Amino acid sequence: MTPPQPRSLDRGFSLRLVALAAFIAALFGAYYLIWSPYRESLVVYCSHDSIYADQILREFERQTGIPVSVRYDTEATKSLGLVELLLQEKAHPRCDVFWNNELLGTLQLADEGMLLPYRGSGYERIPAAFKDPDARWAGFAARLRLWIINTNRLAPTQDAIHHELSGDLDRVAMAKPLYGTTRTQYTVLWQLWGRDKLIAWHQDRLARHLREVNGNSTVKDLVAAGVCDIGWTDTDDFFEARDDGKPVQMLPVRLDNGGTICIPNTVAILRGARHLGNAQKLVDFLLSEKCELELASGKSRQIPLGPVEVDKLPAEVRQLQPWAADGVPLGGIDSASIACLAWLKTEYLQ
Amino acid sequence: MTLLRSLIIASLAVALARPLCALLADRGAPARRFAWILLLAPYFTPVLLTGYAYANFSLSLIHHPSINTLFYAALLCWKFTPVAAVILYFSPAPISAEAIHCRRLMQNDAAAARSDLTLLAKLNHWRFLLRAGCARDPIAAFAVVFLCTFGEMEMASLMVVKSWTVALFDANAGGLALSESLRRMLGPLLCEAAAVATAVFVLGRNRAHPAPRTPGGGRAHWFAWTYLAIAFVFVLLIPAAMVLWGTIRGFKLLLENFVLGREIISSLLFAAGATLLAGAMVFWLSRFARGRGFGSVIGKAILLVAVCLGLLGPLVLSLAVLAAVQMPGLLSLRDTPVPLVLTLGLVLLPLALVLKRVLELTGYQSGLHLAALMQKSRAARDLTWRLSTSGKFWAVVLLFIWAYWDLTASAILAPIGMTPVTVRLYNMMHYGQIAVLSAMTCATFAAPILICVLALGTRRWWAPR
Repeated sequence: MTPPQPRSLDRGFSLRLVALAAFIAALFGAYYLIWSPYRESLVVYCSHDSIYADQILREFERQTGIPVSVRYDTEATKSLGLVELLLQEKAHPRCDVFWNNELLGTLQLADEGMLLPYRGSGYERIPAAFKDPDARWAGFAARLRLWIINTNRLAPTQDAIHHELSGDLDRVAMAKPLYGTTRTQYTVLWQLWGRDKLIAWHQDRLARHLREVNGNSTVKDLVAAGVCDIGWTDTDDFFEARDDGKPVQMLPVRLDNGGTICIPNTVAILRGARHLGNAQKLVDFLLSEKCELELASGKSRQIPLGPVEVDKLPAEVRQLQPWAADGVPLGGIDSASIACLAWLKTEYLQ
Repeated sequence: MTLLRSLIIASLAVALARPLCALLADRGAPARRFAWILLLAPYFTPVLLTGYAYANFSLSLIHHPSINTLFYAALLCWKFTPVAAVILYFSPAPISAEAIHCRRLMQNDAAAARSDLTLLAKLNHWRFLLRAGCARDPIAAFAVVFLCTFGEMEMASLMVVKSWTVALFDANAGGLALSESLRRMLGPLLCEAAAVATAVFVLGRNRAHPAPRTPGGGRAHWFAWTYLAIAFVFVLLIPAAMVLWGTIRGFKLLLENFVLGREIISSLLFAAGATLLAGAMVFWLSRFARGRGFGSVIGKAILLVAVCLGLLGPLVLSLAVLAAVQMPGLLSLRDTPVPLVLTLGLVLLPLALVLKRVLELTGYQSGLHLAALMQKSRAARDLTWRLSTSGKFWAVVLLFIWAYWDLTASAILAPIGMTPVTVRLYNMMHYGQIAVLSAMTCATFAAPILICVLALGTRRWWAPR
């Protein structure tokens, strides 16, 4: 028989719990007070890589004094996660500005009637091929789809790539096409080839043991480490590997018609945005020449779409510009995007 | 696949925990303390740290997925065997080794005494042990380890291992409807419910007075020490060394551009709120649930509902809460910390209850009573701290760190502007290993430890006056 715990101990502990609760509540309160500007901050959903986007958004905060709260997507579910979240929140939106690192998700939101038109100074400087005629979104700072090639394993030529793709694809890597820019690549192929040919092509690739991984950065890591010989990725990931001194080279992904896939970032204001004035300021900031130059000069080497002073561009970006000029138009792929996404969801989410 | 893997790991963990328990019962205090440190360190190592450290290694095994899965399973086994060992250690055998020996002598079975039993005698012996309740604790340990491994997501994701948790998390982020997520959760949920029911039933049974554990022999000790060393090296030492190496290289960059300060503070606040909520629920609801009156029934009902909600796991519970706060009446809560704190508190509740049960089983009630009788002296407070409050304190620390490292609920429910650090880290970890990220991981790792050390300084305040 053990003696019962004295009630005074229980009571004392209860009082201390209450005191601790009050202390933690006070901490939350203090946090809210210290960061009070963030309660009324501009809410940005951003699917661009946080390591790059954060600098840009902090610079916007510094220049304008407008506090920004950002919600980033994960690398694995790039852009699709945020688009789905925005769709879920459609009735009660909390996002003011959507900075998408690709186009398709933005097109989907535009089709859903969720985007608010805005023709600001930024919109005006972007060429017509990269913006919505109704001004619901505008593109900026593009990336290219390309082959990343480990030069210790393979010569960086189209012939060598064709040869590598003719047999077993055990040493070829690709991100899951449900997400991000790989999805854009699939959508472009869907538009170009039609449903049946794309599905047959996809199944043939998988049957030949193509390595499907979580994201483009994983593709880059695999090729850079020599675990795979080649892979599909984007320019920003390629330059990350090259800056690390890895033995890699790039070649643009060429479609049957010779075109390349140039994928812009897109920015849009959500209908029902609570901070419309600030949202417009951010859109103009992102679409400005200064911002495009900053993204071009940064580690991601994004290709400016609006007019910029060419001599301010890094040499690597100037090398990319002719390839970007060969980009197939992405403006009219809404229906292909919806159909392709529906098929991809049955492949990867069922 | 995950089910099979978890069943195998749980079985292995229970088998391996036996010699570890013997080591923990060693009579030499320094050796025992060292063994406890080696045992618990892998368990307390955040899965994000281990997963991040081995992410590149796993990628190098992309052509050998079975080896990668095997390595992942080994890491899980090393990480969660301590859970089995602790349960077995703190759940004393219902009958002592001496009693078993006496039974053999009473049967006057010379062969049995020499341990070279015939098959029939062996079966009889096993039946006796089962009837005496000797299988209860291994079953409970098996169930709890199964729960831990079956629901693991972060490490599987970073190490590119197939798991139902990763698939569901990604599918949900990819737009899978909540109803479909719940439908897909049903199978795993049934498995988890079975494990939980088993653990609660077995651990909840009244027991005889503890029989002291018998220290193991030389060969068993060698095995246990080797096992502990390997687990410590692979789960903690190698990942910590890799992160520290990165920290040294990335420290300057981190200082120049320390971007995770707000995220770490947010995580600490969420973890503190959730720990307090879970602790308060266990403390007060358990008090209400005592006795036989109407209040007791209400208390038990609330506790049962809360535990069941917690057992749904962070993914399903977060999705349900997210759906709830989208409704017009609750919309004002959506951009506050309430949904996340509530969800984390509920997720912690089952663990908090298990810890409470362990504390009850190991508590020295008579000593505590004596300490209370000593009234307000400092010696009494010290004694009370050692006998009672220290256990509660470490239980709170465990819950706090558990909540701090949560990823799933945080990714789904964190309010805008209060992104928890794990969400940012998990996102950045998918870009691969870079020095500054390692430095960030190190800072993230250090923050809750610093808080716990500071909290330890207030320990006298917690002891009754």
